[in-house]
Amino acid sequence: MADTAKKQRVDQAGSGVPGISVQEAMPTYYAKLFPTQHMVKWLAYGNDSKHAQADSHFFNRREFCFTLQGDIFVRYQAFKDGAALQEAIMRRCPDKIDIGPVYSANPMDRHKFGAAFHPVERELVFDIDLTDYDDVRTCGSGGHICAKCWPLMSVAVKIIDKGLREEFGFKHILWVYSGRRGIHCWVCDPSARQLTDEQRSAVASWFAVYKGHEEGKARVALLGGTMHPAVERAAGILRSAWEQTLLPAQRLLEDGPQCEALLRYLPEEGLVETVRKKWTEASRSRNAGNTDVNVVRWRALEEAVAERVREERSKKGGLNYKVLGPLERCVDEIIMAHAYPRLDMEVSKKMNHLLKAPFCVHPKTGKVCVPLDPKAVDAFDPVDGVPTVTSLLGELAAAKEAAEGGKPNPEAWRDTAMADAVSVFESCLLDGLAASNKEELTGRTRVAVAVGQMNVDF
Amino acid sequence: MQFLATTKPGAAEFTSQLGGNAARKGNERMFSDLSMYNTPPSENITLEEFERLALARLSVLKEMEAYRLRHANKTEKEYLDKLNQLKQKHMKGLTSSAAAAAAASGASGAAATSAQREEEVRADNISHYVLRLAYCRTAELRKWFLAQECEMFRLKFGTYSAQEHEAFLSEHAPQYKPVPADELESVMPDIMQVMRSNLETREAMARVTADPKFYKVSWTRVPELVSQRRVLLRGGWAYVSREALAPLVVAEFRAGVSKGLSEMARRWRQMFPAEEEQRLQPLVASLTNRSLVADYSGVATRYGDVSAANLPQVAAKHFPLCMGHLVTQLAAERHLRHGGRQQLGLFLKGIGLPMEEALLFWRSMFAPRCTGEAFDKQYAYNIRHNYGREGKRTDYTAHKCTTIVGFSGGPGDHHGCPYRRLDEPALRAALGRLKCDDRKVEEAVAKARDGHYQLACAAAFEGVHRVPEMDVGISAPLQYYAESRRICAERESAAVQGAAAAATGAAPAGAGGEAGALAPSVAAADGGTESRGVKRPAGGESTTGAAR
Repeated sequence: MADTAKKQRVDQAGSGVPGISVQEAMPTYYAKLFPTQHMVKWLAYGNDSKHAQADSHFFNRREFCFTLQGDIFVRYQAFKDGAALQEAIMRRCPDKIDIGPVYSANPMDRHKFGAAFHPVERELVFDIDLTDYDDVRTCGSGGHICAKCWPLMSVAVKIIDKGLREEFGFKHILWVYSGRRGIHCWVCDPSARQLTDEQRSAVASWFAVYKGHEEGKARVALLGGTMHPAVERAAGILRSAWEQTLLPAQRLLEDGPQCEALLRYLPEEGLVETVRKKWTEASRSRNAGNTDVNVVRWRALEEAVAERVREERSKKGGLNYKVLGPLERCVDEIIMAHAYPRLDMEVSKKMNHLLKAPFCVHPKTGKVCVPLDPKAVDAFDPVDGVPTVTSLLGELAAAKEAAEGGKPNPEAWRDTAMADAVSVFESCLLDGLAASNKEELTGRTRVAVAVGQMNVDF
Repeated sequence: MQFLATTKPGAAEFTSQLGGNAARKGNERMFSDLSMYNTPPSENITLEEFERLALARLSVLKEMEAYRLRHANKTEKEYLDKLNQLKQKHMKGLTSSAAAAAAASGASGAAATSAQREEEVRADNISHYVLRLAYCRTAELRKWFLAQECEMFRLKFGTYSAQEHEAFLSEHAPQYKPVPADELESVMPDIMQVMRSNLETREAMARVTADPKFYKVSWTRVPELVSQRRVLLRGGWAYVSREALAPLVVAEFRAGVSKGLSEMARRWRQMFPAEEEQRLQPLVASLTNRSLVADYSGVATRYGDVSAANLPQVAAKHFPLCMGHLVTQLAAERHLRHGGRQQLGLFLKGIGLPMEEALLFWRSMFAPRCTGEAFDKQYAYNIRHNYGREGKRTDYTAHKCTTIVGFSGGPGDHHGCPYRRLDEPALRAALGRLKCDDRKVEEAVAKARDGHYQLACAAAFEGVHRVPEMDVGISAPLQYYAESRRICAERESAAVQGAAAAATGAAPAGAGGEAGALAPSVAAADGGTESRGVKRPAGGESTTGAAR
């Protein structure tokens, strides 16, 4: 597979070029590896073509924000084309590049336009960060990321990606590993780029089942015994991931406090007692084979809840939904509270929110923000499977040595792990966009023709 | 379009120079009290009626708003009853003598009612347009008016029958495509699941099964339904039942009125004929000056003695729990996350803490965890920004309760409404620290448990200040603060007077006590206009005030 090949290459390169810091490596990275042309191809949305309706100023109205060393933000940068962007990047060598909206005018001239200067379009974006899971992940906190908590991100990708495609009908969706502890999503359909802030909020709320913290536990919005089809679908994805990966990887039912926290989601004291009893029994008869203790305990919990539900249902004199409801939902509630995607809502809500560009390098980890294929997200390895700026430079040097004597290769990045990242970028986004861009331009032609005819009629 | 013109003194005339109004009017009339307000009124009315109608509508809108703020969890039916009750109270008997005469002159019952209906429609339309004129002037006024009008429209729209809806829709919202039968069959199970997940009543479900009428619209038209997950989405299409169409029509209504308002604001000067400008403009302007919108901007100047040095004492005595809690957490952790900094920072600005003092306060609170240099780099900009000294230089106002209650946050966040976010033991402990009366603590906790966070806050206020039940709920932290300052100021002055009376020895002991009891009521009447008045101004008094 492409993924293992990538890993091997990284391994061969070892620690890359020894003794070079991320900051020192950046000029070379921007000069030889950063795929500026691909980025421009993406963000121009066909307006760089020779099509009659192509708006040659479109790219020039897009805001870029550079973060220079020492956390200096330089906002409202805009560039005529790829060459100008490349030149600016090389000259200023930013720690981080953010992408903002397309404005009604060139952001550099914003003062000339006053109130007429406003954002007109922008990809619909999502940001999911592992730090927001700190209360439910046991392997680490803050900037930590490892194979144990990545499954939380991979289910998030699956749920949001599927929802965006099937429910909202979006097609051009780019997923990016953010370089440290999270993931970004860029929805690039023309209709998505045109959304108002209110509509963006609505999409974010549609996916927001996790509603923050209350009374010491995560609050999830589940009402009644029935879930909305969209939530149900998400729950299905979570349920299958829960026993297989999330529960054993996060070891949620091994130590005391963690167990207690989880038991708080059960609606009845008596039920908590039953579950505790079942757990001690299970640990006494330690012959459950080599099944993970977390899974054993989880199944015991599920069984106890199911028994209680059966008991309540068989009671005479009609069903008491006040009792039954919480019982029936508590298992799903636990799963949702621990694993349902926790979006950073603010990022998605506003058209003019900045978001870090793909292919940036994280200044601390040196990792490149590489696109990831949502279909292969389980196989993605954020710890060792992501190229770092130093590993890439190492590969670049190795390739140069191998091609000794030949003339310098202007596309040397094709011999590094960057080639894989760019090919994911192409297959997941650019290839699909090409057709959509053409359609958009043709649409504009149709409008233009219609307007022209109207004029003739007058 | 010219809106107002007069022919003779004492009468204001609505003239509409739009062609084709008469043709559209016929359709609008079908819905006696439901209107998109596309047609401005065009007739002569007296100045008196002009003002009386506007004031009546204003009172309905204000009292409806107050009712909503205090009773956030009532059913639609209850709100509608309240609206009808308010309309009865304020709009009744305001209609012109013509209708009354028609009704009285022994005309047949049907004719009388139809005349009365017509009169209602007329009053509704005129009062809407007068208020539109008054409330178009600033963004804040426009926002308020729009919100109240939309709410009223929404309530009324809900009362109409299927046929009326259909007629109304075909005229105002033709972009809704009916879902063909075969397609509907395939999505029906999912639609039912959506309904069950939203806890729709069995009757509602039965209605849908009996008469499955659905419309397919782009999801972008129904953001309200999408954000609450109250609709089925498939490939970008939302399947909306006939019953759920209301929000869409409301959106349409909102767009129309909003556009009308901004249009009017742009042409404000041309709205009044030159010779009438002197007389009409102050009248219209006064409609908003008598504003009953809760506005606490006076708080800062009235008690403008807040500085970084005395802030802790002020906080302990006068801050509502949401702000007190943030101050406590800030002092304990020497840090607050962004949401908390915004919530507290804007509030401090609201109570009159100057920017320099604010910088001093936050810097000292963040020390020693955060050095002065790091503070300047990371936080100072944001504080200056809140005070409108950076970036786009907006003068931000403090959050209201509705905003704060809506906040959610992670485990490390302390902003939001504590009555919502704290668990019961923590809430009890926090109220105990405020030295709140025990009985009131329980009342507040019970209210919070039922989701009545603002009432819980009002209960806590009563418990902390040992006052009888307030007639107004808490709708903003600044209001809590203002009320608290007011009560304490009154008590102090009463104590001083009492002491003075006792010192002179001229008055018997009983009179001293009487003076103490009297003082607050005088001060309350005096302060009422500014800090709390959600009361309807008396008709006579306002008429004279406006006519000048």
